Amino acid sequence: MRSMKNLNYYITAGLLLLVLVSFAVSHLVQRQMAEGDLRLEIYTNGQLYQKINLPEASTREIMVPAADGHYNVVEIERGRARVKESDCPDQICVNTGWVSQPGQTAICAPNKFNIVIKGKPGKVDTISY
Amino acid sequence: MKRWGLIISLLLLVFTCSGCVLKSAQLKEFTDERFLMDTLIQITVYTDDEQRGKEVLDKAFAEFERINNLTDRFPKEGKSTAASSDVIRINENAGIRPVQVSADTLNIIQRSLYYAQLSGGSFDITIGPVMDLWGFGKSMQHVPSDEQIQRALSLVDYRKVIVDPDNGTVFLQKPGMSLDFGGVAKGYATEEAAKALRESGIKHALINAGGNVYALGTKPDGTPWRIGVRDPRNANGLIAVLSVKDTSVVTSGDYERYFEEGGIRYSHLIDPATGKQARDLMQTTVVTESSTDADILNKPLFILGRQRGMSFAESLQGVGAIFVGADKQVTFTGNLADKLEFTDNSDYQIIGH
Repeated sequence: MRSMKNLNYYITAGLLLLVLVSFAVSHLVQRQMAEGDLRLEIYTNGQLYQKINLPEASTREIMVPAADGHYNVVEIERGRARVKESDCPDQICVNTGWVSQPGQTAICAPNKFNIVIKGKPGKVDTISY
Repeated sequence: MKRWGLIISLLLLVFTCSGCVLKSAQLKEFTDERFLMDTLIQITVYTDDEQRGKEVLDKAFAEFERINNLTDRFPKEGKSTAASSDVIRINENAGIRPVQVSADTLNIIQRSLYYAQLSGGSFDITIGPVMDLWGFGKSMQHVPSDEQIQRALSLVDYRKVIVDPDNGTVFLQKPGMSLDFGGVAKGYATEEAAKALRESGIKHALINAGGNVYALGTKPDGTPWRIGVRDPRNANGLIAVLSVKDTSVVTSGDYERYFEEGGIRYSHLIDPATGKQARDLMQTTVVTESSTDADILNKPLFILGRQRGMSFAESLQGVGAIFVGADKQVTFTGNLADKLEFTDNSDYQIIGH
């Protein structure tokens, strides 16, 4: 009778521990996702060219060469970025202006160049523009 | 006995927790993006197998490539004319002879002519000469003279596009006429890509073709996709969020393809009746099942303006629309009320429907 009671205690304690561990793990995972800092990713021809942590970024300009001597200039300020200059014909990338929220992007199709803000999931899955 | 109750409830808790984890682990997200059709195409699919994820993404992108090759208006460098697109061949043979084209090109043209007729010509795929005059699609954009505009306009008339579905041919009656699929090709390609994903058994996917969005199914957790609509004067902001499934959301505005001259903004959204920019609105969004229809319909809605555009949208089955006026007043069709949330963007005044 006594050992039966002990067994019950062990089972209860074991299950409680399991619950605690699973909560702790899910909490940690969520926290890690929330801490996934805002970053700027620069792509040329679909390949990652450079990754920059935006909240810590200092003001600067990056000249990104494209094929055949073409180029785009990315301007970065703390927390935001834009395509400041491009030698492309349509200037859509420059017209887009500053971007800072996850999912936002500025695209230069003629130079096959784009910048995108990555980070913790925003409140939308994608943006119609 | 009480203890057993406790144990059972704890067990249930553990099982439900691990259940969540297992369920979300089954479907994995695969994303790829490629430069096609003069823009960036992003596709995200959910499937259980990495190999399959890659295969279906390739299939979907192949559709964009296929439609682009059929509809490109300008010859690609290093490509022979024999390999040129249906649209190039139709345009080269304007006033000369009918041209044999693919079933896709025929579909696109018939759909476009249908909406041209329905909108009284405020959408017109024969706008090519006017777009060329303004320099859209080319490198030098400038404001043309009224005389130049009149001359180009004499070549714009969708009724002079002769389609022979039996022989699969298309003929532009006047020399100098040219088709421009800028207002329909991306939508049609998106629809074909979505079809390919569905045929491959994909239940959850998101396609964003340069702002033309198609939400296939729901999110993997069964909730609707949430599609943001860009603030027309701030790339950093949203004006609204739409919750949708199996639906296209396509936005047009005067803020992407435009140039400024003498402090005035000239966008690519040109009224086929005047050859000049429509200025009543700064943005329209169309929400409807077909991506082709959504892409096309933005143009007549934008050109017709807030009031006539609203009447036109309301006359169509299963079409929702949001209008942002040049005065920053926002109106929308009543059928969007349950899908639409506005962000608390104080720059705009929501009027309703």
